[in-house]
Amino acid sequence: MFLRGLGAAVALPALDSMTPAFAGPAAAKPPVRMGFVYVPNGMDIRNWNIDYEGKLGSLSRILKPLEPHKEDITLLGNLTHNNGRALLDGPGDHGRCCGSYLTGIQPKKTMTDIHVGISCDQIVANAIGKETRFPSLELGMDDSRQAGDCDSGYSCAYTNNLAWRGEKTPLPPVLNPRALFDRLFGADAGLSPEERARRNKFRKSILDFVSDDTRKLQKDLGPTDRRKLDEYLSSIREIERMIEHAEKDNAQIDPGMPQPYGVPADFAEHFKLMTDMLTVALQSDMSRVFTFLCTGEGTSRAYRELGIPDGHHPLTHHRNDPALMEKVSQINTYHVRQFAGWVEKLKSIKEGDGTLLDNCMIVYGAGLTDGNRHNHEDLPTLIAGKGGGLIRPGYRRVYRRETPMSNLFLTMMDRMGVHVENFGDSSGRVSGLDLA
Amino acid sequence: MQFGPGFKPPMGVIFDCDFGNRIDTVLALCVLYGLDQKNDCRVYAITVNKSNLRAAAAAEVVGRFYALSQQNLNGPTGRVLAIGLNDRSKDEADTPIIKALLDTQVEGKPKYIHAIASLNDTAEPAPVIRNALTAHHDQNSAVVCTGPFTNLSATLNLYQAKPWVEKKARYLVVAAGDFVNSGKPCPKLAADIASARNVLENWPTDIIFAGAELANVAPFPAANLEKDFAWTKTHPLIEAYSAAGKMPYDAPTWDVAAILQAVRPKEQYFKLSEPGVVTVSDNGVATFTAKAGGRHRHMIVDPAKKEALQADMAALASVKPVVRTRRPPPPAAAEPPKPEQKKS
Repeated sequence: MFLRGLGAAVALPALDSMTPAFAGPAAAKPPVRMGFVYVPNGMDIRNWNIDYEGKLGSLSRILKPLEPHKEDITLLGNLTHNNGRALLDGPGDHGRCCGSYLTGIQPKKTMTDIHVGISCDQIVANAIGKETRFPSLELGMDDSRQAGDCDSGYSCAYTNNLAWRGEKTPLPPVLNPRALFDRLFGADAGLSPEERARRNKFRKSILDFVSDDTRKLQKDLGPTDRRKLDEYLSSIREIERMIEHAEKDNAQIDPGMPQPYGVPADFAEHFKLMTDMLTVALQSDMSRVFTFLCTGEGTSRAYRELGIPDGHHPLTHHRNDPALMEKVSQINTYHVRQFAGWVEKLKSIKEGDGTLLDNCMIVYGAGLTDGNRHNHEDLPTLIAGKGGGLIRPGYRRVYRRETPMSNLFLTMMDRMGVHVENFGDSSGRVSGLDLA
Repeated sequence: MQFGPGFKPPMGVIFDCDFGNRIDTVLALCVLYGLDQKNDCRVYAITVNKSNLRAAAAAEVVGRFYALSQQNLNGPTGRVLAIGLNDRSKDEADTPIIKALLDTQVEGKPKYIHAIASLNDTAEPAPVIRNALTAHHDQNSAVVCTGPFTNLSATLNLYQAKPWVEKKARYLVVAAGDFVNSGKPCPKLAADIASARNVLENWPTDIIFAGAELANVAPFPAANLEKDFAWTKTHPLIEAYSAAGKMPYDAPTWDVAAILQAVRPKEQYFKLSEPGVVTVSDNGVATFTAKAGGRHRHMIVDPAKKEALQADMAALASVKPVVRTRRPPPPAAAEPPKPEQKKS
């Protein structure tokens, strides 16, 4: 359901009044969402792994920010992407690991004739995407290049995309929060350039465009729904405010790398903006499938906000220098901290009998294990959420060595109701993610 | 492993065996690592078809010895392979060989180290075999199977694995059957008839059989042990050899024959039969029928080669391991020129 105004539309979250009073439990069951949050350049794996299996207790240094949410996450061990390995194609692990991450296929080493496979998110989006406004959402944080050499002969299309609609067709992520905002909440096609300019000039909230609809709707709602709607619309206003804030700040902060106008220089702020909007999109069932590439694979982004002016990628080639390794750990922890903040937000949103997070399964991980070694076995991987009650979190599940990562994605596709016999280099399904 | 353009590395070998059951399998693995040390081949995968976690651990002990990780606890070591293990839930019995490799102690500590404490420290054999094949130049690998055919059959059944086998493997060498004493069941085939038939019918390369008749043609000369292994007091082969029989004894070399045929076919240690087809009866008897265009052959003893065979086996089994120089860490990927930072 949408609120509509002058060229703008705002989707609404699931309100109690939208559910028929005598609807059965099946009708009220919120949808399951599947998403992937990818971080680049592997991990300082010493500080990611924990040395036990089973019920989660104390977490490792990098995972520490997730400790308050350990009942909501599942840590996975020994998952491998064989097709991220060289397999006679020489250097280029960054290009390969990102290109193969959600496809399970070894990318063709080329800068022009790109070729990999359809990613698992798109297989699901193709099957269930018609039920939502957006079959899938693709988000990113930097590096929009889609051509040229980004890693030893691998096209930038491989390092800067996670989602592949076809073997030759990546779905480039939206990097700019304003563009994402417009895509989700603005009616791009319905607004003339003049209207858009006028709106920007007066910095009028998009909610003002739907104010009449909002007032009318609020009159007809009960107190619980009114509160839900207020919270929801407030969060949209907050996002608008943050975007304006980011645009002002960009004039003052030197991020150490090029950024398009309107994108916060600060990683945390950018991440929060993007995930805040994503939260709204998931909450309002605009989409049930998403990918989020937290900076392109192989990025040399500097983290000045952490006091780290060095590029991330060169740092990961630390050659076991403790000072450099420490900085890699700090960056890895910083990323997890942002993710933990988002997990907290998803947990705070009630949905059905549980929370929005309960109805999600969000993979957080990297396509390289150790950025220094460039290896592809025992990839750092966790899942946040319960997948609508299909996953029992709070455990570390370790599989047998060389277990294909594709097995996990095949299992997740099952959980989304999309049954595919084989995927990538799968050899079966993974066990231990169910409630049994 | 990467090489310059046009350079073809040594042949890769995937060794599938029921490690721990017989001394000739330990000998075969040591000879295989010896061939690797001499750059005749590269060991790419070891998979074990004995449902016993300790069998996998014992195989890893041997691998670690050749990677020097037994000896250089804090120094440079070579690559230690993930061991594939066919887990059938119920453990098969320990053997004296396994006990010798895992339970021998020195000053209260295990003499040989390994890192296999649970099933998750091993791998499913089929993906291991498939993945090892994907890493090779076309037609530059060989698969050797000296146990039941279960793991190879599972590999064939894996999604899209058969084309990889066809593309990457030159041939399969198996130590199974008996082509002299016809009518004699082969326990390795009888252990899993369905898998044996699946492999014989669907494996997309030539298959060469080392029959049981080769086992004692050129037995491993025990008299050489003391001299050949004088350079070390710690060697898993010596441990296993002593445990597997009453010393001194000359060990059979059935599995070793298969390894040598796979890696050094040009040495012609054995003659080959004409092409044909091998079939397996319900009780595990392998029968060879000559047939033009057949993809199966079996190895034939060449008495003239016995001495050379024994000398080479002894030399290869006792090769002193060295660690190859490792590649330096990969250089940082070329960064694109950074445009001027926008400031407004």
